[in-house]
Amino acid sequence: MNDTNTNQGGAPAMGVRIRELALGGQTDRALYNAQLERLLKVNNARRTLSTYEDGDQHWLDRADVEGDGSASLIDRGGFHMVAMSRETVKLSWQGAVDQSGSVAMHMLIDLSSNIDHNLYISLDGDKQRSLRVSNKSLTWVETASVVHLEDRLVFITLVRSPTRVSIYVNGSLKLRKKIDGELKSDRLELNLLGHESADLGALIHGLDVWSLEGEFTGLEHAASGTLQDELNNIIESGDLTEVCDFLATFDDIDLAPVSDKLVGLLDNSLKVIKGFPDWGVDQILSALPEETSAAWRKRHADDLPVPSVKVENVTIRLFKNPAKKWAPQNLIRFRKAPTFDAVSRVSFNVYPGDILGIIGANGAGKSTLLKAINGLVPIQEGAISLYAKPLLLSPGLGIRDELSGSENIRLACCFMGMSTKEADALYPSIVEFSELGEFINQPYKFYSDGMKSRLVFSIATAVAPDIIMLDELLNAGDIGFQQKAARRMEETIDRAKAVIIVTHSVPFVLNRCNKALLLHHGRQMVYGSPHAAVARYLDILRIGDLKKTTEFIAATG
Amino acid sequence: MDKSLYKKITPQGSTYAPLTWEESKRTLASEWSKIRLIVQSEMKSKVFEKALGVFFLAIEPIFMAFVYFFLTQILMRGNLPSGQFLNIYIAVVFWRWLAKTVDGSPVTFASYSSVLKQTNFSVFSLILAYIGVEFAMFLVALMVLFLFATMMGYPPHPSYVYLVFPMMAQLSIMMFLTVLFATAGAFVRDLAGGVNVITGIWFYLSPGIYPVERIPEQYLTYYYLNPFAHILPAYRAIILRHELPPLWPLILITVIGLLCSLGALKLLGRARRHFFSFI
Repeated sequence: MNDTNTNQGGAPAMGVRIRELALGGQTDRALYNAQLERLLKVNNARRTLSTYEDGDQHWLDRADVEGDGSASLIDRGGFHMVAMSRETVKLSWQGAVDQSGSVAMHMLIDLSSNIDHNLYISLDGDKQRSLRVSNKSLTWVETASVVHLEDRLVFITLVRSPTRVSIYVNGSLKLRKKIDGELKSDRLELNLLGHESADLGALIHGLDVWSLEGEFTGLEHAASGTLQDELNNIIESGDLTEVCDFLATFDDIDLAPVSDKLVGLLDNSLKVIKGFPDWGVDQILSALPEETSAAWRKRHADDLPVPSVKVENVTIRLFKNPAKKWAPQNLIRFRKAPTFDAVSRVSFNVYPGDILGIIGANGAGKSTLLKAINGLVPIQEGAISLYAKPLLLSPGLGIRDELSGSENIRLACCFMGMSTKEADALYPSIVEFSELGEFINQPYKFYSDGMKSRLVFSIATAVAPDIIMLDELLNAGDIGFQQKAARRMEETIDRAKAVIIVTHSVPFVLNRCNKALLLHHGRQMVYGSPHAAVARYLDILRIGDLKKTTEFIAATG
Repeated sequence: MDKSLYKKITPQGSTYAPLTWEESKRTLASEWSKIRLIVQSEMKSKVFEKALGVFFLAIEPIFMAFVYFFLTQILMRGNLPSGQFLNIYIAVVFWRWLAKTVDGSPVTFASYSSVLKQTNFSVFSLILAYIGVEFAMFLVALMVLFLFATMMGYPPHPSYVYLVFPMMAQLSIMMFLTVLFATAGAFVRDLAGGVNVITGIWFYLSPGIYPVERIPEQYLTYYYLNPFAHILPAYRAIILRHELPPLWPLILITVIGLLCSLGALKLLGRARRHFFSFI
């Protein structure tokens, strides 16, 4: 067994004590400092910055404060960073990081305050190699590895050597990834990046930065014994996505002792009626010994589920300026109209029961991809196979102002591909849901905006195609109707055999989707765990371009 | 193609699982019902729900005929055959059927851009519905023409059944031009202005406001290459003189028009998947 997976026995009590303090809601500086002093001795480390040791003021005097947000001391030590709306606040300490070797940072943070996904901690001035702290997770940005958080008060330990980064939460190892590169700066930076929709406040009770001479030791490797024990527990929970998320946070975990259980988990994934996490199956198979994964593929060659939608290496090329494509001056000069790849070599599968969320910043190619799957945009490379009838739900299709609500219902249904008989069958339920009553026979142009949106929403969500495609979740009307509409949307999604939804809603992807695809400038950045895709998406939104870190592995079978 | 596959999309286009005979029949019936629904909705939206809708449809050709009649009176200094107004009126009613249909065709798909960008609704059904709407509006003008002719001493006659020959010839040409310009109009948004000019010139090159006899004999061979040099006189022969017009040019025009229409429909089918970037 890999020795890094075991408890090293040095002083596990320190990790246990830290966990007890954090889970007990304890913020007393002296209690944590006692544990940190013991850890310092074990590691023969040197403090380069400390709110625990230096008192209230000294360390804040050393900080450079930038941005239009604020940072202030709080009672009993620590500090509070606040960003109202789009404000930002950056605290940085020059000389806090010893570039010569490894460094460790400890932070006690209260996640009761809202930091959303917006607090970045960087040990070398590079945001792409930083730790993002959210109210529910930690993400090592470089590899989009996500650690889920369940507690409100969290003691985070970040250890960075030139070759490896490790993250401990409440004294237990939660992430260990290989990295490549020396520290480029001696600055510790804490960035709180505000956004329009919320006021953010990061309440940090304590912060310690150390210079280490050797490997960091002294904290537990897992809350429940070894990492294998923890992995065992997750495998036994039967949640393949969680197993994948766990595996994605460790580069060097030895899977041999749990390979039988993992194979069992893969076998069970085939029995699930709703959805098939092909990405997770591929991820686990690629982590298992080659002969084990080959044997599994051979054994299940005939019983792998058939996807409803199969997208293979699809590239979509669009004209930069379509209006001038056929301009005589270009035709006469045989000038080729400039093009760009709106979508480049994207691959994924959607199985019956899957809900795939496609996310990405504006202009990432999400809607274009959705249209291509519908056959509305030509593809230049690859292939798309549909094994059931798809429908892109679109509100307001072909609505005519002069026609009455009832006539518009029939016309819109017709444009959505329904026969007149099918439209007639759906008509009563659409009228009832829209709450238009006798107004249904009035011309549409005399409807209020609320009535119009209720009608188009009712029409768009009345259908029940095999594969639903949505370019953003639909909603309509006043607050009362919005709740009803949200319920109807959920029912429509539940009714479909498979769902592909383009959305900017992070909660929807995390809570409803069993797989996610992140596009960035048309390229596939992540296909797989919604947590990993959302993590990278948020980092793209907050800090711009990131390197591609995940590759789609050819679908099982 | 895999039988369980509904649709396969490749860089060469989309292929669907083959339909059974029953499925084909159902699809055709469904498309026909959709075309009817669109025609009804568009007629209501464009004509019946407008204050001057039907009135304008009925009056416009008469008004245009008066303008042309007045112009020809001045240009030809009254040296006109008898019944010249009715001659012009007949030509205007049938010509405007063609002109309005063809002139509006370049924006047909643009006017349904939200539908075409978000659904796989059949472009063939859309174009047939568009032609159907224009035909329905033409029928209103035609009824007024028959009424006017009756008032002028040319009551309806059994020979009107012969109208099917020139109308079929005209419809086949219109179908070809409509599909062609609708397809081209999806890619070149400002094509409509050019088509207007073409149909305007074409009208003056056709015997609409003057009789064919006015064309010098040495140009007649070329003049008769214009299908409307046969179609417009045929309408007059049937309505005013109750005669069967020469059929072979009309049948030839119909056959050529239908063949060209098939080619244009094939072109439309191939062009459909490129609409997204342009409309």
